[in-house]
Amino acid sequence: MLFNSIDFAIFLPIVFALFWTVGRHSAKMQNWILLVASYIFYGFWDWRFLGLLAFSSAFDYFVGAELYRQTDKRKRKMFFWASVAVNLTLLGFFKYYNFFADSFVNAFSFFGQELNLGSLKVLLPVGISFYTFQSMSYAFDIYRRELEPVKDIVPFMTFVAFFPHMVAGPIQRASFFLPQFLTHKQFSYDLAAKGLKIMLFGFFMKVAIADRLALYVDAVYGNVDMHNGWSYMMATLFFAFQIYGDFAGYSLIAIGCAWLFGFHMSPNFNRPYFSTSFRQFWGRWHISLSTWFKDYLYIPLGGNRGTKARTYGNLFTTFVVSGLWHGANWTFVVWGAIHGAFQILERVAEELKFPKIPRLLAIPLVFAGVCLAWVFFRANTVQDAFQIVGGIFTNLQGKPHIGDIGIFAFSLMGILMLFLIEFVQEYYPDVNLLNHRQAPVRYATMVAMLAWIITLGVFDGSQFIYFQF
Amino acid sequence: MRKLFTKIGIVLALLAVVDVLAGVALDWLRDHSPDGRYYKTKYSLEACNEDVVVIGSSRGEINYVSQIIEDSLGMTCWNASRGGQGTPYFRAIQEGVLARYAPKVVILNIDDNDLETRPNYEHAGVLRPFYQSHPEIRPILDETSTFEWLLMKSRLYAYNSSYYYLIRPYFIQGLDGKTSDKGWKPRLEKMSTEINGTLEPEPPKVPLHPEAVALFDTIVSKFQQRGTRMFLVVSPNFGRTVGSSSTIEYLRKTSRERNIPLFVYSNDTAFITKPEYYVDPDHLNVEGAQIFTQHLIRQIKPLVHSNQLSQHVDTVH
Repeated sequence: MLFNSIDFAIFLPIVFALFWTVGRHSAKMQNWILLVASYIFYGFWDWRFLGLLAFSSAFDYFVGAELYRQTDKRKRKMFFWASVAVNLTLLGFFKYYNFFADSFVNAFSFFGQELNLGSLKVLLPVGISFYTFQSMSYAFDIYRRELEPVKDIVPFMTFVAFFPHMVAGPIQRASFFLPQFLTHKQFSYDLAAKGLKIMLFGFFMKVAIADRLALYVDAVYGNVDMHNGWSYMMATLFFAFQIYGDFAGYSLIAIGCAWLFGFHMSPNFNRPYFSTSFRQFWGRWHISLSTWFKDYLYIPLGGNRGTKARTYGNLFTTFVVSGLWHGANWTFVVWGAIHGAFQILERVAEELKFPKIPRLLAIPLVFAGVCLAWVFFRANTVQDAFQIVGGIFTNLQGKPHIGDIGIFAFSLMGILMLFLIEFVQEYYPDVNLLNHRQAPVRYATMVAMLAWIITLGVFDGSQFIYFQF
Repeated sequence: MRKLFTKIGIVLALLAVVDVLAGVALDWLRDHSPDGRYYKTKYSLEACNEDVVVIGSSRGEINYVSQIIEDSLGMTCWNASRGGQGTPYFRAIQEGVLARYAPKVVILNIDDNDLETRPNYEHAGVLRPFYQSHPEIRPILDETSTFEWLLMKSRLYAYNSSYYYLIRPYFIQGLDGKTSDKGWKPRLEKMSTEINGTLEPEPPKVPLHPEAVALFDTIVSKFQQRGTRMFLVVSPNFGRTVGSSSTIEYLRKTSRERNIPLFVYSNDTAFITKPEYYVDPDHLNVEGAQIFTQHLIRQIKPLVHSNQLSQHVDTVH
């Protein structure tokens, strides 16, 4: 069930009504309603994987209980690694089996050897990358004695399966999010109104901007041989805003939806394209994932506590793994490696005391570097990605592909509108039309945004990009 | 909670008002378009009463010169084709036309692989602005999505993504052909590519898509039931020869079984090897369209008032 679908438009009000009427007396009833609703939501995607979701949740619930109960260090470590092993095995099998099998076979054939491992038609359960990480964070936080386990399995399973964020995040830490499932929620008009407004903006970003840009991006990236460097540049620029609109839009819808039920989620994006460094970019882009990798991979690897070489190695490893998390394709690995390289270069520049780049120059430079990396994220193959990067610098004969002028013009309008909104949010944060003190301004803004979505949005039910992860 | 629902109601009410007012303005723009895509579609659905109607995609719109057809056959002609469209659009136009009259002749341009993929109902969304005023096209547009009928209550949604082509004719006219071109869209440019001696080989055969075939069969049946004389044509493409795709084989079968003359130009070396006839590999320029139309009409003319099948189905020279 997509957020931008009629099915969800019917589903959400029903769950909302049940939650605040039938569930008004107890947290337990509220959790049951959300749990059932979340499993129905997930079942719309593929009911066959409901068992996997239930198993993953239940396993980590019992591991968490044991981790807390055990005092023996060895046994605690054993349970901890059991959680890691089971979750990563599930993720590895469903998401990466064919990728590693094919890569292994290709490596052998490179040396002239034929190998037949047989490929399994393994379906990718939607959201597995997100809910396994969320579930693992519960075990990790208990292991670190940062969290006590919940006594009742229902709140825990609801925390893992909570439908607003289950298929594409934001990943919520157990220590922050799980306690909210133990308290009885009282309806708050302010929170619900805020939630709806945030959802509206999320839909605007997704349906009216991201999906419109996708039409052009798909035309160029899907036919790399037919285009020149200008088209590659245009498509890459469009993709930078497409993925931002898509993913940030989804996150806003998830956060806003959670607010409807009285739950607070941590923000996931903070106007990343205004970053003045790559380090800052990762503090503003997919914040829930970058902090997850920082806390559960980078720091356990040693973080920056060792030598410089060790620090750079840890950084690079973290980003490469993060790239692989995004998808079973070498393009994502290269994408992660590029960002790892950017992080290292920045630290080296700091060490060598390079002069600080003025903000007005730093922002477009970082944006250009991020766009270069996006080429690998979006391209179908590493080969295509290199062709695109090479073409941007060497194949600038002819005119850029415009395609349908209407689509192109509206795509540019969408980017301009998004940039304008974000510029105001970044530099004039007090200007907030959706929450303006004057009611006519608020209503006019909401109606204008809805009208824009209906008028220029793409309604073919296109999926959020991050659903494939 | 009452306050929340009240506020939601206010927003939706305001949106409904904006929707209605915008709809009035957009409908006015649609109905008074001096030329362009919406002028042509509106004419096809509401005013077209010509003896001969050409229906097709961009190849139909660009390759068939209405004036030549009129002069040769001594019959009026309207080119109801539209770029980027396929069988769902053809069906919708058919319903719009047949709701008012039955043309004497329909020339249906089918691309060489049209029946091998799922019909693209989403592309037929260009007809959304006409949904409310033309009930006969609603069943076709409702195929786009389960709740299309609900979304179509909104006039803003009906005009989704159409603004550029709706407003353009008010500033620049003739880009989709002048009104005097009677639906034909002349392309003046010439392609510069020279053929390097060999044609692209026949592509591998792809199975027919049952839904596409069913839609095509319906188009043919409905016209024939109303006594319209039909002609099926497969336009030429530059640089590639296609003589036996699954679609073309099905057209041949239809031609035999339903007594409909079929003209396959997609393997006709008199056209597919002549770059000077093309604006791009898929579409003829003005010169090419005139020659192609003249060639086609010379063959159609003796058959217009006859029930006999054409003697030469494939025009390979």
